[in-house]
Amino acid sequence: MSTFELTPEEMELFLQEATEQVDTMEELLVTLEGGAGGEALDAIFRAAHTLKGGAATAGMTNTAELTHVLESLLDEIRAGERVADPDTVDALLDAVDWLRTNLRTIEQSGVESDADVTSIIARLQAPGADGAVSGDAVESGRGRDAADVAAEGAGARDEAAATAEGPASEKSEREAMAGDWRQVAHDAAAVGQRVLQFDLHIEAEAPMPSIRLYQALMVLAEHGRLLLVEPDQQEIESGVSDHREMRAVLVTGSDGETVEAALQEVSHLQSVRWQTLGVAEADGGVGEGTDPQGRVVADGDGTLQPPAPTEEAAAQPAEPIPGEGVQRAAAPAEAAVQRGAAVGAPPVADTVRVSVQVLDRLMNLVGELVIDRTRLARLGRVELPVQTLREELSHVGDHLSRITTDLQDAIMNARMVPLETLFRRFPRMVRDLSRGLDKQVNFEVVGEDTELDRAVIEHIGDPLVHMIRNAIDHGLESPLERQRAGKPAAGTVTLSAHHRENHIYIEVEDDGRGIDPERVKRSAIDKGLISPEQAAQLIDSEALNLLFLPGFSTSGEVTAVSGRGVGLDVVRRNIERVNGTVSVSSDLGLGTRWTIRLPLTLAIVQALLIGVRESVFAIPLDSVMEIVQIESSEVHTVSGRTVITGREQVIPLINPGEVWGESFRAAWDEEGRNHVVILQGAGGVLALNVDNLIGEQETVIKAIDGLGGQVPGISGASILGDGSVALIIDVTGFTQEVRELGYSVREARRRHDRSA
Amino acid sequence: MSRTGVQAVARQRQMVVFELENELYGVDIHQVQEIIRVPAITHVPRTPDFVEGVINLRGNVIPILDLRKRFGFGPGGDDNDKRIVVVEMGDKTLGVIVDAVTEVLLVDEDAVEPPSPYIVTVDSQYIVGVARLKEQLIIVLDLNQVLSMGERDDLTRMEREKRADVDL
Repeated sequence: MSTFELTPEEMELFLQEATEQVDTMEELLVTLEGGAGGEALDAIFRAAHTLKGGAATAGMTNTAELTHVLESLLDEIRAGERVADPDTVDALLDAVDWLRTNLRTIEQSGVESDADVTSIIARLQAPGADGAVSGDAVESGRGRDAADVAAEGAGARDEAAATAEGPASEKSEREAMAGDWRQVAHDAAAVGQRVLQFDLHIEAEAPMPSIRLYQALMVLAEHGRLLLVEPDQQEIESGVSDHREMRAVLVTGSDGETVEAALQEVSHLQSVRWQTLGVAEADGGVGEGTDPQGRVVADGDGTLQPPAPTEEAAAQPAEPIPGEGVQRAAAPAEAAVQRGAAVGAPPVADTVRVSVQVLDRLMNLVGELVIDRTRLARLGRVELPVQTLREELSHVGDHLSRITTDLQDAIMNARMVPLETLFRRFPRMVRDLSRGLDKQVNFEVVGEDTELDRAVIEHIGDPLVHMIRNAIDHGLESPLERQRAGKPAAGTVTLSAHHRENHIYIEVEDDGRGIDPERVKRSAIDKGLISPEQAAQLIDSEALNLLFLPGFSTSGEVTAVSGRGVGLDVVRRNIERVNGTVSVSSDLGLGTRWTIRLPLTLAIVQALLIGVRESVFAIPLDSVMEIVQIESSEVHTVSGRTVITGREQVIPLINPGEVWGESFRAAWDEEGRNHVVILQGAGGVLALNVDNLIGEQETVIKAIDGLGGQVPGISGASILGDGSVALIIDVTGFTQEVRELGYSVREARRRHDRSA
Repeated sequence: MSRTGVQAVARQRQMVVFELENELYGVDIHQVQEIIRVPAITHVPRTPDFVEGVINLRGNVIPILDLRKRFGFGPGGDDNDKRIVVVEMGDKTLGVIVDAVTEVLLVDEDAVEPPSPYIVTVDSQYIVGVARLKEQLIIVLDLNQVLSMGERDDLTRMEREKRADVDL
């Protein structure tokens, strides 16, 4: 309908930034209820303000108005005039949802959505009243805010006005098509396409009926191709008509129920009737003699005017838009539970932010490639003795292979995304779910800076949603039940990520009722998945794994939250698709833990490189507590084992040679100072004697296959800048080895800050 | 093509021929992914001594075994001639160091005879047969057999021995 004065690049930038602002707002809004204070509020405010400015400049008046009202509300909270109670946060989150949906609409169509914006604004102005606000209040509110915004965002209004002229120019084309709609409907029905006729009535008291009709029209247009709109679409768009009823004929891929559900988001709609037009109806006239489906609330005497196909009819190809209806039906304006449940896998942005450093590295590598190309070309031109030529070629070949390996690494590196991009959406989902289910949930997120290939992240989104939902819906008891069991009323759900040995582990853990293996067995027998004899032989952990069998669902009752048909078998399949595994463990009465294990081949870790003899090892930096210089006088012997004191405790001092054999024994200078790295793994703290310190490097972790087994204390390998291989020390495994050598390794007494 | 021609082709196999301790060995070319020079090898602790370590093969870290040590030969061979024969075993890739790679030969199936214990110095369990080509004898190896047998056992035994040493 309208085009903004933005180039496609500017539009993309606007959308990207706006999406980030919306993400930030959502993330922080959820923390408000938990008592997060001024800083979070300020950050939300900033995000809203930035978004408002951008939207106003881009001529997106609805977005600008909405964010303006949102800002005002935040201001009131900040000033202490209003409390961030759940209702208020709900209203704010609804607004954020609207903004997000709207951004998607803009991305797809280039035009912002009008749907529902007034009721969202109304809720923001009177949170908790939930639509009970009178239309007048909404209007005056909009008017006031619009004026403010117009003053702030230069020319926003003008542009909006200008865009309104758009349809007029297409009028002639539209008229040329008039009268043909029956033919089109007939043809569409004849080839089996769905032709739906909608009759809508607006409440008699509703202000601005034409706006409602226009919103409804937009919803319809999203579901397919409009063949007929009565009264004339232009008249509706002009906003001056007093019509309270509308008839529209739509060729669509959605079914009537879906479109009807989508229409529910248009407020003040008194009745929606729809019917399917067959070949005969399309021929013989609209709607006469067919049984209307859908609900009938009031019968309107429609003032039918000559049919006029819309610009969409003229402009769009005949294909209906499949799937569109479903997406619409899942849109906002539903109760919290449904909303929480409707949050599918939080989408991972289809753009990746790449640091300038990485870009520079890629650029350099490409530069090197160009040099190799030149060298190769030269070799083809000059006369050289065969031996020289061979050597030259071999040099270029070696160089090329190193460059391409580096390129590959750099690209892989650029593909790495911290899990935070996925995790950040969950607090919101948890909040909505717990509110809808009347449960109190402390949601903790750990290790969100662990990096994974974005392709892998995409595949684990859905499974995680499923597991978190499961944990809250089935895992956690009601507050009352919890108190009876002597637990705190608020349950805890922890989402954590870490990498260990050759894998990334993502865990969802709750402190709820746990899963009863016997019940699982019984259920599996009842469903015919296993025989009673088989069941009798299963140990508890095996019984729990029955949950992943196709056709299994532990919950007796199906709820809106978890019982949505997608079983754990689908979860498992999704994860196995990226070579991962999923497992569950549970202590009855104490809680359940779901563990996703993903291969590490794509993972990246920041590592300290150290040298021992001619070998280079990489130590994950988060295991390194400290690097110290130690003299012989500082080393003591306790029952035959060397120790140093530091960090207010006695730490065993290990030479790698003790664990790995003589060829990995680091030198010890009795006279001078020696490099010692203090490591902390899951098993405790130890000091490792090394020959030299090489530096820090971001490392792509590669599995070592084919050695026939795990090398103790080694978690994988990584490729260094010169193309050689460094082994990565698995500190936890190494600690285990050291303990088996008779050293007493203890946990750190307290948490220390890491320093170098 | 005549029928006999087809049969003749079907009964030939291509073999990568390499040198080890002055004897010629052949492996089916289908087992060989590529042949490379010996790069810098990173040693891996607590592995059997025939495991030389790991290398970076175009971004993949693959283990390298020394076939001399595997077969119990002492050190030898000219380092400049040494090559790594990269083989694929199931989903694993690994490399074996040989003294030199000589050629790729087309060998008639008929020319391959069962191994005779008198002419072969390597355990016969890895040996498919012996190919007679003019003056030369080529020992045909099943590399899968050479590299897979007992590897895990060796590794764990190695660990136990190391552990025992230290505990003393």
